[in-house]
Amino acid sequence: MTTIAVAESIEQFRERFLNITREVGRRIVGHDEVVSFTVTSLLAGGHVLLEGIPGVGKTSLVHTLADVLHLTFSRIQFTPDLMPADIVGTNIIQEHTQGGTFFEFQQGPIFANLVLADEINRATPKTQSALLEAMQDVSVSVGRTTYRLEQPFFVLATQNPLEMEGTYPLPEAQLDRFFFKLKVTYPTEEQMHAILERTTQTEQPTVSRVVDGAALLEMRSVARAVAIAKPVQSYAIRLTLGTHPDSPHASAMARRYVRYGASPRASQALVLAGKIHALTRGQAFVSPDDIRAVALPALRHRILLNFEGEADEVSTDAIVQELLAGVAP
Amino acid sequence: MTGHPAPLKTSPASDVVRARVADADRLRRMREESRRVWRVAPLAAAVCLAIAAAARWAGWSPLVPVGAVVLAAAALALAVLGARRHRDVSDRVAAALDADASLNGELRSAHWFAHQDGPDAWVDFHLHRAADRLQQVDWNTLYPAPPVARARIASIAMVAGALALALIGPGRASAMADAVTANTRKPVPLTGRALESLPPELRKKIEDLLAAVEAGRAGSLTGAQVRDLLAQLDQLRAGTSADKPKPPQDAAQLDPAKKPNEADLKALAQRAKKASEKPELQPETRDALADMSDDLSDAAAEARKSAPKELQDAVQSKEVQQGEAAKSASSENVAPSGQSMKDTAGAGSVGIMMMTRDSGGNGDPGFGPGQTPDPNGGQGALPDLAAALRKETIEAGADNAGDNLPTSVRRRTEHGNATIGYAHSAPAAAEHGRSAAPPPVPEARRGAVRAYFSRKQ
Repeated sequence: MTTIAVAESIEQFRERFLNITREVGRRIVGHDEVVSFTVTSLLAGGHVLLEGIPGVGKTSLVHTLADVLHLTFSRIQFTPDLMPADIVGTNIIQEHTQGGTFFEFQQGPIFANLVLADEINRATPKTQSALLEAMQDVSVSVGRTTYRLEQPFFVLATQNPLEMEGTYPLPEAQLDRFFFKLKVTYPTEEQMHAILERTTQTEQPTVSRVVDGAALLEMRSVARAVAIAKPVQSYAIRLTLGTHPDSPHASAMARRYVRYGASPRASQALVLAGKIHALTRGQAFVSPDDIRAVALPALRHRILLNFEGEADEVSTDAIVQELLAGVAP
Repeated sequence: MTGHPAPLKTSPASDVVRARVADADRLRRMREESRRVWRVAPLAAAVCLAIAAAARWAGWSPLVPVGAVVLAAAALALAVLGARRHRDVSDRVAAALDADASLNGELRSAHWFAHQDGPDAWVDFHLHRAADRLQQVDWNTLYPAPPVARARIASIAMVAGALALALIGPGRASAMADAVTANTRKPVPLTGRALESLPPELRKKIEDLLAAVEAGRAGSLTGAQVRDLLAQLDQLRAGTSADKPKPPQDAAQLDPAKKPNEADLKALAQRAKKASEKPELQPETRDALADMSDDLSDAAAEARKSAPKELQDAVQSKEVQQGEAAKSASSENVAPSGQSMKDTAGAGSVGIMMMTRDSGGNGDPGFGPGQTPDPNGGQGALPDLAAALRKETIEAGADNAGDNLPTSVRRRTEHGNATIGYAHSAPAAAEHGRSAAPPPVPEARRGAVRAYFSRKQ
């Protein structure tokens, strides 16, 4: 690969990324950062946990993304009585035409490129854990058989932070498997006008498919080729270690309010997302600014607060921000 | 990450990056050092100027301020030279350069990759881009030369002043002579000395005051006025006053006959005592006059102690000393000598030591210790004083032991082995370190003392 080819790759990556976000933005009003981080997570091969009150466009975002990316899409509405087999699929008895029966695997909704796990915290932990293998290994095991999922595989889960009655908070192991946790905020007045104009008229905004699955996988490989200097990588590691209360890099809030810090997956997320962020800026290298830009969505859900933190209603965002201010790049 | 290993495999781009970063670092260090040096230089120059002034005042060698200037200049030059040399650029420095040039981490990252082995296409692309961007950065604008004009002018001016003070000022010998003279001017705690220099105006004031009281014209006299005179008198007796009246220089005042002696002071004391008994005076004024009488009596006693020799041979010594003084004044090349002039008008005359010098022998003798009308303000030089003191017999004030002390056996320090004799006893060896003779032996204990010394011998 020559330097010219590298330059072309960077430019192509940047162009595709902008096309995706632009197309999504034609239907989704506002939330530019959420859209950008969602696409980043998709290109990094990670999954996203979207948190927001009902009606702010979480499900629409996933629908639109599926349309733009020309990917197979399925939606799973999580409820307390949802069973793992309802997600993964199950073996059902079939009858041969010549007589006799046999088991045939019936694929669940997880077999798609883009899976929307709506209100994931309403399902029981047993059902939630059915996603674990799929999210981590991109495969599901039913009985003695393991089934590979088609790449790109991308889970977008949503949860409502308000209605906590009858919900099952996601276990730490599950949370850690989400590349990013994004907070979908309430739209501003101006954005509300735009939403109403787009959704209450005869013509609905349409989006075009700008990237297919193959192009998406190519973008993934380009993202991983970006060079990162060791001092910058060291910065990502120090940020991760800083979330641990017993670390020398830990901030005062982390020491006081954190029970467990982020796992090494957080460092992976920081570096990968940093690379993609650098490419979107047309850079062939990762800078500390890139790491800083993605630190909040990569770390906020990987910090487990202790009792004091819960009692004081401390936000993990505040802990991460203090960390960013305190750890030298 | 503070440093990098030597590059194993390099590309032209990595060479460019390394060179550019090193140059930028060197320029930054030079500018910072220049700013620091020119912040320190005026201070160093001021210190050199102060040293030069101190050296001139204290008579140090001119080499001291010149050395200080050279030392300061050498230190500053070393600092500048240290900043100019090339050194390995650490990641921290690269990050600082990157931040200063607003390169968003590109310089830092490229600098790290430039020191790594086997760059791939992506790294090479990164290095090429970084090299291009580094060449576009105007480091001289980024690290401008600090404004040092004022500091430079101030430093040069002060250094020039220091050198001028050191080299153009008076020579060391002159400064030393001044220093010696200054030393001789230092107040010596002599009790009788202050009264030797009792200013005539003060004496006149006291006499006028007493005359007014005696004539019954003291209606308006207050205690404060008397106390004021008393305070002046105390100041003179203490010998510590900075505003001590300058000794009179005219011939009339130099006349020993006009100086206050014990008799004068006693007479003044008696007059003050009588005045203090006047009933028409206010009680406060009477108290003040009584204090004055006491002080004058004490001063008379001190004056008597300061000149014991005169008690012994007042008339004879006057003739001898006057003859010697005349001889000294007429001689051109005599060694420095000190003479004592005695006032034999009273029992408690005051001794005056005066100096003659090789070059200034034709002048009038000064008043006070080592006073001559020479260019040093009438002060004798220390070597002269030392020589004079070696020649002069020093008689301790307490040596005036009474009539039972024979004149012929008084201790003479010029020989160093003088003996002291007591009446009716064998002479004993004197201690060289002693400056005062023992007190007179009471008649009742004389036998015991005699027995003691006889046994010791």
